[in-house]
Amino acid sequence: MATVLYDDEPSFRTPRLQAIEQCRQAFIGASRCVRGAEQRLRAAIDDYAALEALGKEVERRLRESSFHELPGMVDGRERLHGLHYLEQGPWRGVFLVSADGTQVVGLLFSRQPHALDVRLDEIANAYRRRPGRADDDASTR
Amino acid sequence: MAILKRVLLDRLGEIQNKFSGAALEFASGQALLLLSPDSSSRGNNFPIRVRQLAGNRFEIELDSDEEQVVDEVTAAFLRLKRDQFQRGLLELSPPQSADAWCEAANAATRDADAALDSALQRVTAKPRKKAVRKRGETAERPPRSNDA
Repeated sequence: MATVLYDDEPSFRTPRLQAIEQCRQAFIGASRCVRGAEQRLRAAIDDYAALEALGKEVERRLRESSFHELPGMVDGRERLHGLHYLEQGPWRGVFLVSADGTQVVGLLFSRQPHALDVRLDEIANAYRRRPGRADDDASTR
Repeated sequence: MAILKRVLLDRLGEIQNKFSGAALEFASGQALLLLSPDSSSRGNNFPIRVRQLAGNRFEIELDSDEEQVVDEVTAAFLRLKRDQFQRGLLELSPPQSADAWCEAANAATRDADAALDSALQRVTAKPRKKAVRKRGETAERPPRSNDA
């Protein structure tokens, strides 16, 4: 059975698309520089290459149904069951993988440092109340 | 250079030329020195990380390719996400196969690819233009010979 992937919109899909957009902006910014353009461009290319490599690895693991072989995550001494991570360069994707490995949910995408306690503003921005969200409707019942 | 006492040498195992160390200084002023033989010579390249969690609290961690230790906020966030998934509260994309993921990735990176191509042309072209300007007329000679 082929593996399928679902992206969580606010914490995986949106940050990943933002990362691609940041790379695009970095390319434009680097090309406008008078001094140090090559160094800036090289750094941006490295980030972008890692981002693409992560995407390719996701594609490969989808084809091979091998997400459950990715390393897991630990909180203190407790293992976070079903959660696996994939890291390429500064980027990390965290996935919730079903027991048989055929269903995968992209839960969290981040850039180093991955610790969320130093990136609270990003979480707050991703979860600011938007009109028409399901939890808004639930809270008014 | 330092001379190690035998009891310390025994603890460190076989004698090594290289050591890695970490100095821990507690808020009270007490200090400790951690010393480890060079792990690469034993075919073990996992780095040892020492993190200060509080004034009198340190955490020593051996990095490996295996499980990744996450901070408390990230762990709480991931547990919450897993719980929301179980209750059907996540905003999920439609299911994507490998082909669909690849197609979406290509579409998402199209603009970035174009920006990269443009930037490479500009950045690599700049030094060449300057060199041609400095050389003056000599730079224009090759085209003339081509026309002829």
